[in-house]
Amino acid sequence: MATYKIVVTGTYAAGKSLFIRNASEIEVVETEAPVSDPYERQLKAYTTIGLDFGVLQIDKEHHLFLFGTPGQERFDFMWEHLAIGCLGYVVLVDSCRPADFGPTSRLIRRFAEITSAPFVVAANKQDALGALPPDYIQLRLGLPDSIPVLPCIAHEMSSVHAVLFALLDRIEALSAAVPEVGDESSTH
Amino acid sequence: MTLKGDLIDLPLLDILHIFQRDGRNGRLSLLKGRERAVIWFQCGEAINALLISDDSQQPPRVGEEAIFALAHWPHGSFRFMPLITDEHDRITITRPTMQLIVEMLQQRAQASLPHLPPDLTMDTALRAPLQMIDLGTRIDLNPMERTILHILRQQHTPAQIVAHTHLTPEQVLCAIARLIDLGLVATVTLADLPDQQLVAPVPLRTKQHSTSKLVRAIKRRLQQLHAA
Repeated sequence: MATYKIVVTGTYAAGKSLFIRNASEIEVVETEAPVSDPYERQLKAYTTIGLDFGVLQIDKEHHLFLFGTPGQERFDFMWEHLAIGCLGYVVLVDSCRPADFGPTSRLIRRFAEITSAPFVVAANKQDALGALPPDYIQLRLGLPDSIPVLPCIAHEMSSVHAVLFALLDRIEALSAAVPEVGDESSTH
Repeated sequence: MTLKGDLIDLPLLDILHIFQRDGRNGRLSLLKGRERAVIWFQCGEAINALLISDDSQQPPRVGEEAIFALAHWPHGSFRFMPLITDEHDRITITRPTMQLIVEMLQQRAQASLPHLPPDLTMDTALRAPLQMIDLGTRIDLNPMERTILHILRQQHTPAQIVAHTHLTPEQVLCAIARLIDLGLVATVTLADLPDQQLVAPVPLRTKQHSTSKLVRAIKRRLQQLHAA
């Protein structure tokens, strides 16, 4: 069986666990624990301390693994293990928390150092009445025009699929220029 | 969910601009030390504002006066509560919010002496969002600043602007510093990422399952799930 990997990352409480839950075909494996930090507890009661794991069965022989990273920067040692060898990754950002834009920019830069895989940025919680528009978020993240910010509502499966479609389009477009070579294993 | 943060991350000018563009209804509460303020929005227009201080020497300010005072807050926490019903019973601001935004920009344009931001070099990638270019046409900019703002419709570096114009590097940097001060131009801090992303990772180059075939298979599965 060949397996492939897509990583979902983002800052604390950006909605990564929910995103994977709505993309996975299996019951998601979560490693959540009660939040100890009083400030962080205001945002959510439980947080991912290891990783979230979901699976999309492409066909009988091929599976796509979905990995969610822990959001806090103190767990960034996990990012490298999760990101290496991935097909691509999704960066989620909370549209209602402008204070997260700086850490998200740092996270994007860090991931670009770890992996050269294509990525998309998704502005989550777009259904919230206070959500900032994706084009403004793109500006504040310092992203160039070539990396648009997609609107996202992680608790809606159709929205999650739209983000994954956009990532797959980007993977296809960017890999088109790269010649197919060798007989390397595709398993990761 | 409410929008909340600090004015350092999201300046009042940006908040007014976004709310005006999106036609928001609600109440924006701001807090800085002993000063508290509330701005009420209806269909994106700021219609009422109140600024009060615990300091008894400082009288409360209302309407436009409060808004223009708030524009000078360099920091301060804010929280936006969307409202479905009309909670506000007073209208103290009658001018359109866009007029207030333009006036704030003009005040800043007259007051600001350009100083070069520490991270601005000849190779810094810059961009002016389309809505900011529209705002730029309504405030007092000199012809050089206007030309550079127009060029920055697309991402450019100061070095590229110098190459495209007859301006000196000093003129270009000073004009850009002022445009950044005014909030019309932003630094594209992650401008160097796309080139890195053009290198496909090793698993994409495998013969066993070509990338396009794999991507098509995943898309097909997603479509099946979506239909189900």
